[in-house]
Amino acid sequence: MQKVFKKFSSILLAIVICLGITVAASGVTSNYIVADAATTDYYSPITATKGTSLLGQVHDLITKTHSYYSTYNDCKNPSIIKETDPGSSSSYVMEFYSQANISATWGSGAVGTWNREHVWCQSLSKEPSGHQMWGESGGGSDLHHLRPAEVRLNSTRGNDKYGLVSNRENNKAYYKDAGANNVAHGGYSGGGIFEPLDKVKGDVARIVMYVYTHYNTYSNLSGSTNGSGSSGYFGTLKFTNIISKSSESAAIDLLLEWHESDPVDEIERTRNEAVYAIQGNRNPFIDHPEYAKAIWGNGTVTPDPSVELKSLTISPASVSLSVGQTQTLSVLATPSNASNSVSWTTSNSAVATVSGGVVTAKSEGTATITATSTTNSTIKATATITVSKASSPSTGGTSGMIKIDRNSFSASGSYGAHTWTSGGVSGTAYIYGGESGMIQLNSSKSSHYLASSTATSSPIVSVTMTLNADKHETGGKKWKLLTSTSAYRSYESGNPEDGNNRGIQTATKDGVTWTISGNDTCFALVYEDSGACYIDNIVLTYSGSNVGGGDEQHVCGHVCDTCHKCTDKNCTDPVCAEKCSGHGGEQQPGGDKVKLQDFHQAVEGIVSNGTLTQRLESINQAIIAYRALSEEDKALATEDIAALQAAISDYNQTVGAYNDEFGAANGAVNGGAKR
Amino acid sequence: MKKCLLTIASICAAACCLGACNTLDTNTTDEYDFLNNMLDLNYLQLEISISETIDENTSLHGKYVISYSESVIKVEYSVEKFNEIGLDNPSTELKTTFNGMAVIVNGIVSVVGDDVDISANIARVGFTFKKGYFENDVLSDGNFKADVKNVDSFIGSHIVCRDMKVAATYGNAFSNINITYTSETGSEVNFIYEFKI
Repeated sequence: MQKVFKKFSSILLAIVICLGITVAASGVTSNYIVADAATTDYYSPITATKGTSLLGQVHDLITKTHSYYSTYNDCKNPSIIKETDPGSSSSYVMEFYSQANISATWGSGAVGTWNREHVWCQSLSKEPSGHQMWGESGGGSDLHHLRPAEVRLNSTRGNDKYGLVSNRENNKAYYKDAGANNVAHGGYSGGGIFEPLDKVKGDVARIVMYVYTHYNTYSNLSGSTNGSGSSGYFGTLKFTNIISKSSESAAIDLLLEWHESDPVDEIERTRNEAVYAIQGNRNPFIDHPEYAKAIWGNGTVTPDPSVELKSLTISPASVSLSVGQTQTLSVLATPSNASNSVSWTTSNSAVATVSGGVVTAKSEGTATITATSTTNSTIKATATITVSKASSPSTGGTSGMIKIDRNSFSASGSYGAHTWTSGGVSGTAYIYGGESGMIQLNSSKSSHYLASSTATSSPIVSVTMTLNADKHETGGKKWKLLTSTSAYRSYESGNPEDGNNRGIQTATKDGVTWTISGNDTCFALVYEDSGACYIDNIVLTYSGSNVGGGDEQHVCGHVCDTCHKCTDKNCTDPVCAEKCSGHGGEQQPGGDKVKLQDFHQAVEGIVSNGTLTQRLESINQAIIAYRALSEEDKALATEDIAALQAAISDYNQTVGAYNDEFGAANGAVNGGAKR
Repeated sequence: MKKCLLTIASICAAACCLGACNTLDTNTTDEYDFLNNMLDLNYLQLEISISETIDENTSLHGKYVISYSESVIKVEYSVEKFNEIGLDNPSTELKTTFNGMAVIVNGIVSVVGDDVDISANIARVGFTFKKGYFENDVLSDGNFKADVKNVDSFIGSHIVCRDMKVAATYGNAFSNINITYTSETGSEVNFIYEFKI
């Protein structure tokens, strides 16, 4: 009865405190959101189902809702610990590693009393730079993190990593009383490793995953914010900091194993509610254990039939097809763990039919495809299908392939516009005639291109460039592909600019392929990087089919204007197998796509956890690319600009801290006065 | 000449030699008083080098060369600082070095060169050697080394740090004093005082 009452009063307290936070937070800022006590609504912002997308969203959620950062004193306050880690009566709290009762009174370090255990040790919170991320604030005083542990047992664990102890039965660690007598078995300690009891391993794993997800800075986790926490609380954490394994993947495997072998229990749920009432955020791996495997394993967040569906979205939302073509539509539920079971209907079956989400184009016209939820028929989503006449098939042309390498040239001597011939096609390139075995170009010369001056017999389907493995053992060089129905002339100065821009890609020794559609039969490759570039070969394929329509070529409704690859991750047509890696999607009005892409790549390349020199160089590259943007371009690149500004702020904060310290040292030299 | 007038709260009268003031606590003697007395000797020159090592490729350096003549103290300084950057002010240089010279006459500091805060107190080494400020202190022939447990009292100003150590070599006067500690960010900071008499 006493336990039931205690549980009830804990929940009641949590609700009362939570309501208080809700009222007090009526003037919330944009940095944090107030969460409802119901866990379903708390997790409603989570729409991703796996991987880094899910990790980023979870990070954003638990940092944005973290409205109160507990203090180190809070973590030793018996009143608070009685709520978060209750013992069997009000005289006790629960010792973490043994889960046994220990006196609730704070003992100030005496053996047999409890003190504050950092599950992720302070000394193991070091970033790759050596900076220690927490001591007694931020992650170092988070109530979801710290647990009460008996003083001697805490010391036995010390700053050992978690792992598997050899010969563990001979290496037991105990919670001891004031007389140093064993009170309860609290784990195993040996060889610099601490292994929790089997019934605590899951608790440890879920705390470690929480700390990793919360205190890694958002840019490490594909998130977008660190909430209202001080920027100094966030940095770069690796699981290998705290788990005794030699690789991140092995550390993750052990954590997932512990997470599954010791499932969430009432102890953790009680603590989660109590800390949520104080801090405003929750440990997501207690509420949603499936998140762990969905993020780091091969799991997926699946619909929960008890979760209320809010809305549906169809992807793609609009599709252009030719008669006879098909398109698979996907439906996404919000929240992501609600059921996405739907029935499909079409507004005009003469134009397009639909079955199981697969649309078939029947005749010219427009049709609306509707997905209706089977759990709530009032919730629907639609997609617009536009069907055009099928194009007549090509009456001529053959399929084939040509390979251009150094043997295709008869060039000699210095740099110049030299002729190449291969497979009945010819063209020119500004190359170094004295190089043998590979095609050499250089950005410092008046021209740097390779182009065709005669057409292929059929439209070009793909162009693959492979760099020389000896000269380009690592890294790559950027190239732009242009295609046209018109021949490219020879250039002694300047480079080709006309034609359809098929995008810039980084060629490497492993090769890079542009896959294109259309009727173009001539091409130009323009070198867009710096220094010398050594090409092993270029392979070009062309197809005898009419690639503008018909059944041979799938015309996907979502094509990236930069690389012309499919942006629809749900499109299963084999022609769209290669997906765009992220150039901002489809055609957008205005903007210089090349400069925007360069800027995006520069921002992606910003080093966040290397040496100061590495960080500065990478940020400067992004600033240079930013300054090349027009005002119109900047309006299209707001996310990248925000990421760049965040990186600059982090960098300045880092060097500012070092400057302050060095200033203090110089001040000591200056200000030393005899006492 | 650029003049920079600084009001110094506590400056001993001796502008031509290292600190004429005696330590406080004159009512008690300490095992290391002889080291404090050596700080008060008339040195011709003091060279102070400071470094903070952030990583294997990155550090900040500062240097002060203090020369003493009859009534003038000359301080040649060189101090580094990391550059901060912005969207409108990128910087390809990691650090900037501030150089200049300060002249101290009758406690007044005049600076020529980059603006660096030079105090008249730089002329005197503000350390206080006292047994109770140290742990694991070892005194051997011409050598002293110890772990500093009372940093502020030893150094004479407040520094947030851990694991401060001091090592000194001397004969009839100091040759050098070397101080190391770990800063709040985890960097290693090093002071080297080299005395010429």
